[in-house]
Amino acid sequence: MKFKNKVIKISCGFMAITGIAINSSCESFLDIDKYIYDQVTIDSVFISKDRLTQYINGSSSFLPDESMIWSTDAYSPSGLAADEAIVPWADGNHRGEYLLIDEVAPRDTKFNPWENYYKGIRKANILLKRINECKELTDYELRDYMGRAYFLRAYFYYQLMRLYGPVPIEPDEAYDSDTPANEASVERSSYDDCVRYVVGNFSKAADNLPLEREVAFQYLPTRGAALALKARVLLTWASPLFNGNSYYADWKRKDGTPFIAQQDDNTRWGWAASVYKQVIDLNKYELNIVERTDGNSHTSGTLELPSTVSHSDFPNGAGNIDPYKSYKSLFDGTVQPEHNKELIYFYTRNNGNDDWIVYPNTLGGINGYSVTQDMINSYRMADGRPFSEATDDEKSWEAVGQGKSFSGEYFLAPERAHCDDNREPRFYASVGFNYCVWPCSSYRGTENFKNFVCTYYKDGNAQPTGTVKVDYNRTGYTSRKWINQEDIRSWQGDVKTKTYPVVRYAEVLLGYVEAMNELKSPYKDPDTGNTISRDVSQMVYYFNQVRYRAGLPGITDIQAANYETMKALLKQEYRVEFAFEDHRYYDLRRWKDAYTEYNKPVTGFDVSAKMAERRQFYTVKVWNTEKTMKRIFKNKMYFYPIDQGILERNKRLVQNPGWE
Amino acid sequence: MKKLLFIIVLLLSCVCTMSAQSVVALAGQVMTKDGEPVIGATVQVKGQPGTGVITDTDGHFRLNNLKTGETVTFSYIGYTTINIPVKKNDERMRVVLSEDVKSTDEVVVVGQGTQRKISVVGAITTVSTKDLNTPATSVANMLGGRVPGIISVLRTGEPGNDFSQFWIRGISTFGANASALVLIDGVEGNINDLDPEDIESFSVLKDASATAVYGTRGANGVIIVTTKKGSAGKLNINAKANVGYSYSPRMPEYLRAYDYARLANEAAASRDMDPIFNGVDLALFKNGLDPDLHPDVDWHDTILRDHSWNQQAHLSASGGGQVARYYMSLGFINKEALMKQAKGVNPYSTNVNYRQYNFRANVDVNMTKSTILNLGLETTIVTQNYPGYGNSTDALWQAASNLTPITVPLRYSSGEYPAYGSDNNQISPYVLLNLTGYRNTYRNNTKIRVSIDQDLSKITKGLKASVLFNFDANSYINESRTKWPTLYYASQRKRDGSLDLIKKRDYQSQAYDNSVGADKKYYFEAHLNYDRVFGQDHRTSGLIHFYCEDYTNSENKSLLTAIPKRYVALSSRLTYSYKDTYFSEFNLGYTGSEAFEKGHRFGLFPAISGGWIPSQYEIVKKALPFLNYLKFRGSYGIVGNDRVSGSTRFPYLYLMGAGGSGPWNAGTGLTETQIGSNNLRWEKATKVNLGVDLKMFNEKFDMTVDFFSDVRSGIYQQRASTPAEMGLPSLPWANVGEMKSWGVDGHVSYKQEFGRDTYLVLRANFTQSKNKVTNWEETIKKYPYQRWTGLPYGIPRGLIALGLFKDENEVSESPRQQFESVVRPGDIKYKDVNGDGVVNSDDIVPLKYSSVPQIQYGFAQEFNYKNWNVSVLFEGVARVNYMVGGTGYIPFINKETGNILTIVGDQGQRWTSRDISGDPSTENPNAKFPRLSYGANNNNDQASTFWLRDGSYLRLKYVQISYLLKKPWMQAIGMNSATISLIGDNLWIWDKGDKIFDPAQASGNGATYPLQRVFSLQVNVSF
Repeated sequence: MKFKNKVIKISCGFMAITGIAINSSCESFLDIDKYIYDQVTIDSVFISKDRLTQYINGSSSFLPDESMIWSTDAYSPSGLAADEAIVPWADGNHRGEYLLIDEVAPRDTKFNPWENYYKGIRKANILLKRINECKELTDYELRDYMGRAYFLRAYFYYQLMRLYGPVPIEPDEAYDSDTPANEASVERSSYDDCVRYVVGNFSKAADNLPLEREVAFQYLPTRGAALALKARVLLTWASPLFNGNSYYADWKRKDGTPFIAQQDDNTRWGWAASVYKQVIDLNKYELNIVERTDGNSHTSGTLELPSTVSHSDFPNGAGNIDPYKSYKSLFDGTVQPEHNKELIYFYTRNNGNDDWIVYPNTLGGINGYSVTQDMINSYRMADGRPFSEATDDEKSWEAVGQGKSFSGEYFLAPERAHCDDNREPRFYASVGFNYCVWPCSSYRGTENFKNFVCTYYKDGNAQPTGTVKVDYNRTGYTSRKWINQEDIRSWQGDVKTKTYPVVRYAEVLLGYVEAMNELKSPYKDPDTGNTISRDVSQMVYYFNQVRYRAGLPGITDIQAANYETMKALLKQEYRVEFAFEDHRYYDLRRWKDAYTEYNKPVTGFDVSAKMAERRQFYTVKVWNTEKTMKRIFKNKMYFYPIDQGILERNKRLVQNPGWE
Repeated sequence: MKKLLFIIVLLLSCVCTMSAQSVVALAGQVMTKDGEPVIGATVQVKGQPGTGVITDTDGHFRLNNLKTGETVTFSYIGYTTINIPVKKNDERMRVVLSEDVKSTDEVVVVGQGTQRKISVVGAITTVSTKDLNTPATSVANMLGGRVPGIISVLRTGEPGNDFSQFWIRGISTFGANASALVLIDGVEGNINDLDPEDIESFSVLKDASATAVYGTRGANGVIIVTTKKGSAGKLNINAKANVGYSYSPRMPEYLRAYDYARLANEAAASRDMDPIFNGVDLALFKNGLDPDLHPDVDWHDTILRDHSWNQQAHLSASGGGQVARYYMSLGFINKEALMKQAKGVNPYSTNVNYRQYNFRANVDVNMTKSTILNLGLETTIVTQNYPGYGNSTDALWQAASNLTPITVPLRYSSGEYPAYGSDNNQISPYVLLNLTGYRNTYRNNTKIRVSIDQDLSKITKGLKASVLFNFDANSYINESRTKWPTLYYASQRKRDGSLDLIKKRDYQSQAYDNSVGADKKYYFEAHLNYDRVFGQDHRTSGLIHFYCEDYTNSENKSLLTAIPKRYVALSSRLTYSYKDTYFSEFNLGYTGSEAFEKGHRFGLFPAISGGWIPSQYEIVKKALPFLNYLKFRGSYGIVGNDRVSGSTRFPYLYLMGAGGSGPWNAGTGLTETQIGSNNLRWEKATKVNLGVDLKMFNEKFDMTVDFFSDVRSGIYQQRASTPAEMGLPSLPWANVGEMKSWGVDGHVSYKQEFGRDTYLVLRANFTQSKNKVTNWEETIKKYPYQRWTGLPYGIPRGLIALGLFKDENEVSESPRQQFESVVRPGDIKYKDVNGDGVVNSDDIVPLKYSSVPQIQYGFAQEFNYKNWNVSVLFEGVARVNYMVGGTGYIPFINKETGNILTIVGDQGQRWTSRDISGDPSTENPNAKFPRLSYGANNNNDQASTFWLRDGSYLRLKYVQISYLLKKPWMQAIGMNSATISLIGDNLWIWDKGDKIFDPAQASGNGATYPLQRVFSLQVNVSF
């Protein structure tokens, strides 16, 4: 059939021309390379050392700013949800307070850093996989960069575990972005596995990172930082919360392994002690000390050392140091980080809005950080007696009547009560009290703000001047740890930049002593070959360094020999030494002391009293009139709840016990 | 005056010449519409066989010795015969024969060309604007209720914004782009910039066989608009003008001061609060003696007139001959808004208006006998005016609904203008309208289109080729000259009795600002067409089409968005039919878009379709003589949608950008700013269509029904379900969403003629489009009803209301409602869906229908009696819901701001405790408003079925009465005919809602420009 052939011929013709469509000119018309050729791609990152450095920096931007412990940008609830203090506001700017009053729920977690930390982990994984591609690095730089990447990976997991307990450990190779949700959903590992993974990464970081850094990069992690954090993770793992805690007996993974080990393993303390010893043996770190000065006609000198304290030179006594300044200068920005041998890993402390919760309203603050009486009472008397052993006169409300100054910068107003007098130097370095003097020496204005004698009476000068009447102190005490004597929050004054120690040598010493104290039988470290045992003289030696630096008497071998006594001494020392440094929240939990400590009522002075009712003011009372004073701890709060939104994206993820 | 005289003289002379019978000669040329000479046409005097001549090779003829009053007949096979009465000597006649189109040869516009209507096997609705001779200013507004397969909504009546949103066969994707591709003369364009008067016809392409040639752009259907062209013949001038009177048939009405205050006190009492207003206040509100602190202002009154006027005019001229044909037009649209500007305050206008000017020229030139050059020029200029504050009138409507009659006076007696707060939205609408300066916008769109059509029948019969180039340039200038007066608020008086005025806003002197932008588009296409009949029964046609496009817009200022948008495509169509009974068609689009990764840019989109016309069989014709035409059609194909990601371009790229280094203080950082979507593709639509066309009773009865389904896959969505632990810098996007939609559309019409010039046409059309999301990327949900998958798209969610609580007993026995600490009788009772004993956000379930109607229908009648014509259109939607709520609807939700609807003042509409009213009957269980509260009530304000309204309605959309004036004296002055029409638009509505505002607006509180009712008087004159 003729027409049929013709139809077929024509059809074939059309088809052929259609086929020509697959040609390169069409493709090049759509090409966008000329517009995007100069863009940085992930592949180009690993070619250039500069870009690789920048990529590592970009990865570190997921690190939490741990110096933000209180206010709007607080990185975790730990700053405000410890038992050290309360604030009168449970609001978006003070989110930590919500946990303290049980207003956190999985649907409304207030803090949800989960995904951010995993973003950091992903970057660290990508880095570790591809870092070798960069040929521009020297061997030394390659090791340093690898070390940073291992450190980042370990650190993000460690942050997650601090808040949430056991977490999912992602495979070392990051999932492709289009991996089906089901394949990429990882179950939470047991806490033991998490610890082993993190410790392994900190070890690799320590192997690769340099011991020292040049002045400009003091903030970057070093071998010491990796080891100290590794030790901290191990110490936490050995602690009662994670070591044979039967409270979590029923909390198991799908395969039946408990999330929290049910078998008490005492060797964990040994491992922790061994790593702490490695940090000590780096011989790089020392407690920060400032030499003793004598007073003259212009300036006052170092406080007289009580007779109970060894007058030998530090570290065998406090004879040659100024304990107040030695401790205070760690926090007040007067010692540059490269000169501060106590700092192991630290950040710049962002003064932003964080500190304004301690300043009196008059000096530009909101005045609400109210330290509880329990915390105040844990500060010793100058001669080392616990406050509970102080005489009635020493605890009295009456004014001392005589002013005093020491260390060239600290002034004691005559109106101060006896109970705030003659306390250990760390008290004056850390705490603001009624009639505390805020020197504000950088103030250049005309108002009467210099040497501000702060009073917390109902009609006191710290009270709110504006319309927000709730901004007053509830207990009569606040924290001054991060306040330099020059500081004032006014445009006519300055606030000094400070370093915020994430890990400092004092922690290494106390951690080493704690681990040794707990150790029941000698532990031989398979890595170093060293054997650690409960060595009383070492415990006394290292513990007393912390005591002497604070100008307090040392402990005796007899005290150290007794496990229980030593344990109590350690806990008290941790509490005071690291007050307001974001330690207490985690320490209370790992010791399983949280239930008892938090459920104590909030106590403080009667701030409803007026100046004329001085005696009434100094009466300690239980404060429970406001929502934020009704502090409560439930067992679920050992771990923070995982945000519901996170759970809804991974069907293998289970919530922490008690949070439903 | 001189002109008038001249016309009269002319008129008289014409009459004179017509009266005498004389001998004349006629000569000229016979041609087709396209200006091609007709060779061999017969020209003869009617009733005198054998006297005629035959046109020569140029189509010329000459007849001498004719007498006036005789009739000359022009005929040629395949063309309609025409008769022309002899009037006077004319040696330059132009006679145009039009093709004798049998119904089987009728042609319709399809994708990339035209097809004989009988051979169309896809779902295509073609509408000729002759059927839509309305004063409408927007093509989009003419579709709903008139065209089967269109679902449309019109949400506002604001001039310049009153364009309908429409979807072909409803919403079939939840991706970034669900709207149809609109092609104007082959090039993508803005349908709202067209003057409807310039449109010849438009075709709505609905199924895959019709749209496959558009490849990645065809998934949501295509609308092809063809503008008017000139045809050979004498000069044709058409003029149209109309003037419209419009007003708001429905607008929320609010309580005045005294009733407002009383109700505020009831609201306070209902929640055990102290009264808001004391007796003195109430008395002052009632007697109006203190207009400063106890004002009573109707804010609508201060800014609104009761009507506005619109004008529209259009003038076109067309004609031409063998060498060239032209169509030229000028159009003008002016729409004023209802805003009432205060007299004497400003010398300039702050009212909203919309002015559109259109100019168009389409010229066809025969370059050779087989080559036609076409030039199209088109310009649209739009200018708009607004008050200084706000991007539309929305700010005014919101202010008018926010400010209660007692919030502030229009102006304090001391002369100051008021504001109750410092924010822009806390200022009176009067100030916003009159005292904030003004803004105007200008934009223009210019298109230049050149095309060449070449007949290639010399190569092989039936082959044609064409190329087209289009350049499109848009620009805009938005200018503002704004200012603010000093604004005050007084809540009390000073001790001397003067007002204690607090300054709320500082004076701001006149400030100028502008924004300017431009965009451009190049478009090129080439066609090769083939159409031939082999033997008598085998018809084949083929098409190859190539096009490419490049678009840049100055508004896109980032590195990626500024990259030109480009398309390139090759498509083809093959058809074959046998004896006009069996039809088959194969469409193939091979299209590429720059939006995708290299190697993934091109896609192949095939569609096959077939048709069968059993009415062509002799046996059917004999057995069923009343059946004129019966056709079954079916099609199946795949089309794409490349606009997957809204404003984001190139989501497949993995991008790096600057970042910090966090607490490490180690220098600048580099971080991923966009995670590339691997294997990014277009969204895919698999479409099936089954249709029937039927004509019966001498084609008086005409019906088409189509059943369709559209299965979408690869809808581009953010991966909500990826575990957070993957640690992706941002949630990745992927082609993961799936949705299906299905339904039916069709129309039926019946035309009955009663003698000459008298006929009745009845038309009806119906569209139903259901849809279901079959995969919505979502997180793991606690309850199945919390998922989006498995539900219609856009469905509202809320609690199920079980009425109002009768008494305390019922409250205490019911599941605890956790939204508000205290729930009282008269508050809304909700269903505890999950049965956990408490009502909270876990009990929120999907409710009935979305705010886009599932069903849209229309029915129309047209009756013509001699010169009179009456047409009526009803339009309706069904299966649609909207949620009311918020300030201006729920009483006192924002305490002192937010007007109270008058219906709340009606005791029968609200629940009032017997403790307050002293009357048990006021505890009306069926009240429309629950127990009042002063301030937000988190129990009653929840989205729930209590506030869900049925948005279905039936509207008397349009009535036109027109009279055709066609008198001999008109011809004498060159006028052909004139039509005078009276038109009513949006005349009545039947609905089930509160009747506070038009349900089509689907507004929460009606604080938006109401849909207008318009009466127009229109005159069409043709010369």
